[in-house]
Order: sequence, then C-alpha cells, then structure tokens
Amino acid sequence: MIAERAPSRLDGAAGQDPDAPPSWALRAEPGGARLELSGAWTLGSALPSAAEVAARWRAQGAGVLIPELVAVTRWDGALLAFLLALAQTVRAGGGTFDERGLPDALRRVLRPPEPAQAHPPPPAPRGLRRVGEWALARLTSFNAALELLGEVVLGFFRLLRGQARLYADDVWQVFSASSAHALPIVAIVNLLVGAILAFIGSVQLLQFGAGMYVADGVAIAMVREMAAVITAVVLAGRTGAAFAAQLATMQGNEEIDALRVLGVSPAEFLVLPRVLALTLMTPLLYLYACALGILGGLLVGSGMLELSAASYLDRTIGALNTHNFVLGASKSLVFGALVALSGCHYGLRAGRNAAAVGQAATTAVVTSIVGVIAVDALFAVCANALGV
Amino acid sequence: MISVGTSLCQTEVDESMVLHQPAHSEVVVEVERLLMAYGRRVIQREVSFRVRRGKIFVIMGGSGSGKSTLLRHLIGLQRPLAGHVRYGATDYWASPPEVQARLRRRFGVLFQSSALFSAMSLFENVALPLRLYARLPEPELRQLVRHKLALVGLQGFEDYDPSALSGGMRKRAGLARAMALDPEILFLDEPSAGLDPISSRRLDDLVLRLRDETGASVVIVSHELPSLFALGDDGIFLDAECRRPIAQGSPRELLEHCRHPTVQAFLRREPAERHG
Repeated sequence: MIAERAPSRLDGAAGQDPDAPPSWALRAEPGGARLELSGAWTLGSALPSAAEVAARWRAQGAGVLIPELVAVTRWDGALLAFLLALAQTVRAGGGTFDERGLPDALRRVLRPPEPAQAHPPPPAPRGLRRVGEWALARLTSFNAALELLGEVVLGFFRLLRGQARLYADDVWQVFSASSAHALPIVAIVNLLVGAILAFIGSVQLLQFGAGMYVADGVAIAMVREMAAVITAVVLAGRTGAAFAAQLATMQGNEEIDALRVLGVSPAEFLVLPRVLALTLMTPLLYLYACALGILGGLLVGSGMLELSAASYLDRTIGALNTHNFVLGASKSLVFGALVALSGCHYGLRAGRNAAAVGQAATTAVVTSIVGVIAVDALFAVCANALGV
Repeated sequence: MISVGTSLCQTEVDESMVLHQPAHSEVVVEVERLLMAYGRRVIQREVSFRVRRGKIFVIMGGSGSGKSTLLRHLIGLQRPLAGHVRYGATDYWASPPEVQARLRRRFGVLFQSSALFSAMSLFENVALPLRLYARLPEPELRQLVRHKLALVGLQGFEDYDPSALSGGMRKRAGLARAMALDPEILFLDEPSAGLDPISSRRLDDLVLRLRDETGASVVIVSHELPSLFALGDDGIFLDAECRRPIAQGSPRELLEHCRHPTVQAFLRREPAERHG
C-alpha cells in the first residue's frame, strides 16, 4: 500500500532541501504535456490545486498528461490526493493520464478502477409514495401499540388469576425505580414549580390587593394540573426513557427473541410489570408532588405576602376539595400508564444497534410528553363538561 | 472478497452438488422451498433441506447470505413469504399458535449474542425454562440447574451476572439454558463468533459431546471453517449473490467434491476468481 503513514524519501531527490514547498511545472511534449513535480508533497504542506494544473494542461492543448516526480523529497497521502483529483479531471476532459513515470505504489492506486459489481440500494420513495409509506408506517406502529395494550390487559387478567409469568426480582426493581428512585427529582421540580407559581401570582395579585389569593391559586393549580403534568413529564424523561432504552438493548442482545422462543410473551414478562409500576406509583408521586408544590408556594408566598405559614395553609386547605384531588390522581394514573406503554412500545420496536437504543428513548420521551399534554387537554374538557 | 459470475447465479441449483442424502435416519426438520424476505428485498429463495435425527446440520455461507435469517425462520421468529418448515409431520407456519408453542418447547436455541437475560443471574437464566415448563420442586430444580451448568463447565458460577462472564463463558451458559429442557433439536447461531480459537474448539467439543450424550439433532449457523469441518455431518451453502442455496452436503464432502467456485473459495479461504 502507499506510504501514507511515514512520508517517503525518494532516491532521486538526494541533496534537495527535504522541506522545500511542493511545486510543479508543465512542459509541452508531442501530443500532450509532462508534469514535473518537486518539493515535499505532504499533508502539512500548502498544496497546489489540481484544478489549476488541469486548466493549464487544457490551455496547452490537452492530450496526454505524464506526471513525473522529478525532485520530490517527501510525499504521502497529499500527493496521492492531488494525483487522484488530477487524473479524474484529465480523464473526464477526454485526456489520457499516463501514470507510467510514477512509483509503483502510486501507479497501482491511480490505475482506472475496474468496474465494480453494482449493488444499488433500493430507491428511496418519493412524492405521494413517500407520504403513503410514512402513513402506513405510522398506522403499523399504532396497530402495534394497540396490540401491546391488548396483550398487557390480558396479562393483567392472567396476573389476577395467578397465571401470569413474571420475574419477581425484575418486578421489585421496576417498582422501586419507578417510585423511590424518582422522589428527589420529583421533589425538586415540583417545589420550584410551586415557588414560581407563587412568585408570579404574588406580583400580579398584589397590584389588586388580592395577595391572599396566591395560596388558593397555587393550591388549585398544583393539585388540578401542575403536579400531575410535571410529574408525568419528569417520569417520561426519566423512567419512560429508561424503559425504552432497556427494552431496546434487550432487543439488540436478542433477549426478547430468546423470551419468544421460550414461549414467554414479552408483553407479559417485561411490559406488564413496567406498566403496573408506573400506573400504581405515579398517583403516589402525584400526592408527593402536590405537597412539595404547595410547600414551594408557601416558602415564596409567605415571604412576599407577609402571611404566616398557618394562614397560608388555612387558605390552601380552604381552596381545595376532594374533586380536585380525584381529578389530579385520575390524570396521573392515566399519565403513568401512557408513559410506561410508550417507553415499552418504542423499546420493543427498536432496531438492533446502538443508535436504535437512543432513537427509541428519544421517540418514547417525545411521544409521552405530547401524549400527556394531549390527554391533559382532554381531561380539562371533560372536567369542564362535568362541572368538576 | 468472494465474487462469482452472474452466469453462475442464473443457473438452477446443480443436483450434482447435493452430495449427502442419507436415507436411513429419521427426518426431524424438513424445509421445503422457503422464500425469505425483508419487505420487498428477497434474502434467499428455494431453500430446501432435511435435518436428520442425531446429526449436526450446518448452514454455511458468507456474511450477509441470510444464514441467521434462515435460522429465525426455523425457530418461529420470522414468517417466510412462502414455503414450509416441518417438524415431523407438522408444518410450523401453518399451525395455530398453541401448536407452534408446543413445537418450540422441543427445541433449544443458542443465540449469536448468547441472549442471556441481563437482569438475572446465571442460575436464574438456566432455571427460567424449567420454571416455565417443568413441574419440579425447587430443590430438584436447583440440582438440575447446577447439573446443566456443570455440563458446560460453569459449576460455581451460578450467582454470577452475565455481564461478569467472558464471551466464551456466556456462550456456554447460553448453551446450558438451551439444553435446559432436553430439547430434541438444538439451534446454534454462530456459536464460535467472537471466541478465541481455543474457546471455540472447546465449544465445538462440547456441542459434539452434548449431541452424543443426548441424541439431539443440531442445526448450526456458522462461517467458522474449523467449526464447520469439526461438526458438520450435513449442510447447506447459501450464496449472497444468487440469493439461493448453491450446494448441499457436509463441509468435507463439499470441499472434496463440489465444483462451485464460491463454495471452494469459502471452504479453502481463498478469494474467488472474478468471472467476466
């Protein structure tokens, strides 16, 4: 192979300055031109342009171009790149690139390539076909999600009858990862959200002398909306992504195939515990988030409004009723199931490479968050219609 | 790089290349005119062969020829576009799911990546098939799992996580799990891939020993020549260019008698001559 790693020194260049800049000269010959190269043609040098040399060759009447290393002191891949570009231009312009005067290593590379056996990839769909294939792919994915949901529901009934195949250690691990391990981040985010709501509320309501209503606003906002939504978003980014990545990795390691061959439904063995864990644990995390959000509001609100903590809590308790909690908890139940199903769905549908794991996690998180917001809007409409 | 001329690809499978057709032993797997494809891309067509009881059948071919895909069709992970996979008299893909599930219990599979469940210890990995399908009391089950692990030389590693094991040990553990239910047919996908020559040889010896001790039929996907020659009683050669089988017979028979340049190039580890 050509000496690309260690620059070669040519015998014919003995006595020359080894670091002389690369240079060229074009001498007319009968039927074409001879290209004489000299100096150090290395990757660190400022190389002449092959296009410029080719332009000069054309101006001299084209024909045959014979490159020759006259006083080249050192060369590496830079000379090869220059000659490859030049040969391509000369051949494309109908000329002949005569490499016979070059060292063997260069000549072998510059020889016109043998026609390769073509293996063209299937053409990418265009226009309406592309739209159609995209729509069919979405439909297939939606069908697969419904199928997964159905399998999980059937698995749940088998669980109730004591017939489900679960791995106790995995179930325990999934439940703790979906609940206890999420406590710190749920606490921080909801505490800050409560504090921000209180701050904005205080600034606005104080202008109308209605500062005392900050506690009401924070409490209702947290319990009806924010605690459930924020907790679901946090879980989507944390637990949902982890589910997707975990199942996608198992897919890549053929663990899912191994389960199928053993006659074990991945939906029952892997997805059911995850869906159950998030569905059952998210309402508990929601209650925790409500408490932390109200605490955040209390810290900011009592500071800005000069209300005592007891008065702030009195207003909070007075503003809330059971309906608010039922609504928020119901939402968080649905959000939990949605996040878990989304993570597992994209994990199971992932390809078998490292990029597919990242893609599965990203798609799962995006879908979960959009889904949570959409379902929340649906809840808002229903709650309004029911007068809750 | 193996390359064959187009004219060879356009010919039908040469019957003279079907070298090994013993008629005496019982057929446990029969594949007939299988057509395999991913979407519109045909991987292999006209794949037909028989696996006989107690024999080791090797699926040979270069990278990308569809060997592992064929295995997925045999073990029920991928449905063929056309053709039949019969276990005894039962056509797998024409059977209802419960029959398919019963058939799957008759075979064990060692996947290319071992596919050990990462959340479980080695013991639990081997115990899982037994917990699912065997009605053994826990002490007997534990004894049996230890015995299976000892068979593959992994006694004392019961509590290890798969991630703590070397590649060769993971393969052997995968083999122990595949053997857990004493399968009639063992499918091994690239068992030697990623192993050093000594581990690879040990695994080959282990496969031969397990076959001899249990009488199981073995179907192996491989392109490791030493393993192919050491193990194969019979086999099929899939060609990536033609996208169809181009020879049948044991690796040794094919080496000695098959005239196909791709087969010869593959088995002699020499680049094939270009045609045209």
